[in-house]
Amino acid sequence: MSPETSRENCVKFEPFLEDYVNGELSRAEAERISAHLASCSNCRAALEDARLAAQLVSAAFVPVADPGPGFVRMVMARIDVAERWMKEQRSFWRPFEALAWRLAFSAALVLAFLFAYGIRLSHQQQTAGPAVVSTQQQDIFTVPASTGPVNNDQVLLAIADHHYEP
Amino acid sequence: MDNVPKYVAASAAAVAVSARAQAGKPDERELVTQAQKGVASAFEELVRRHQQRVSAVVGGILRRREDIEDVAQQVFLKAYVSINRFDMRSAFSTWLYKIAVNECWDYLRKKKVRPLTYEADLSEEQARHVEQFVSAGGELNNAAERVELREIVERLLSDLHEDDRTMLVLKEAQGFAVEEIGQILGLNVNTVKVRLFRARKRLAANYRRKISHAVDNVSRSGGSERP
Repeated sequence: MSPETSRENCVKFEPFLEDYVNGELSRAEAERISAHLASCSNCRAALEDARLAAQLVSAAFVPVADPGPGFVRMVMARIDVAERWMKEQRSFWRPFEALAWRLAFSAALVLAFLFAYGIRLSHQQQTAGPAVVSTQQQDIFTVPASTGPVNNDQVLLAIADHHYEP
Repeated sequence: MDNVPKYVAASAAAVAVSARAQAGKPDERELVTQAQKGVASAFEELVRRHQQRVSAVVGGILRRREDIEDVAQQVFLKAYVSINRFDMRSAFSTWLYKIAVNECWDYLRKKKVRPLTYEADLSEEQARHVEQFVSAGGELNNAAERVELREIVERLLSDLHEDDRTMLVLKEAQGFAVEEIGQILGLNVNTVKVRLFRARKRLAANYRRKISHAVDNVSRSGGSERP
């Protein structure tokens, strides 16, 4: 296989082949492509395929005709309808927008108040100093007053105290 | 200028646009600027200038005539709504064609259909028809033949990537330049050329494959249908 017909070489020619099909190459470029085509059967076949495809598509599809003056009128009518709809939408949401702004403003005020109150509270706590925790020393030999009798002797003593007290 | 009511400014601008239109065709950039200020007549003129090409772009992607007209109108509506976002960095037409392409794909997505979905091979009659067309050097005798050929070509195109199909139809049927196609699809010119060439080759390969299948089917069934 000669270098002219190598695959890499063919890939290099691809963008030019499209122009060659469309007849959009300069004379020098067209001659260069023709020389390559003369020696490369793959590119020749590809070019034939490309021409066949162009022939089929151009014959099958009719260029879309100008839609005429009625088209502009239809477009402008659609624009008119769309604009009116947008205006209606805006007027429908406007009261809600105002309400939303008021709500947002009120929420912001409440938040600001709570923030200020929080700052003030923490400031007061800092100036009062640390809380003093008093621990009363207890006599470990005395029974707490709230504590009831724990044995039979104490029960008898309590009855005796109760009956013989004046 | 701030004290001038908007409608007065708009009508003055409209008068200016129509006066220039009478003197000669107003510059497109000027029309766009006026349309951005809300001058309806300027936008109308833009629609008038681009309606054919926009319809051609849409016609390159969609098939039904009613769909083409409907989507083309929708394209201009979208352009009108978002014209203030157009920054003049590209040509107005390029911006418009991009909207057209996107609108077509949106339309097909909403309808949940591929632009073309043909799975079956060509019938014997269709194969004969297209072979006659090719051997006659691309001559069609009447509109009915063209309808038949379009059906066949759309089958052949159905295996191609959507962009490749669009490129091929815009180039061959609607007469767009490679540069324009590149701008519409956001592709480099060389990429468009290579993809176009490969799309053509694939289309031709589909053609040969479908023709040979049709011939095989006929020979398998004994060729009884052939006159």
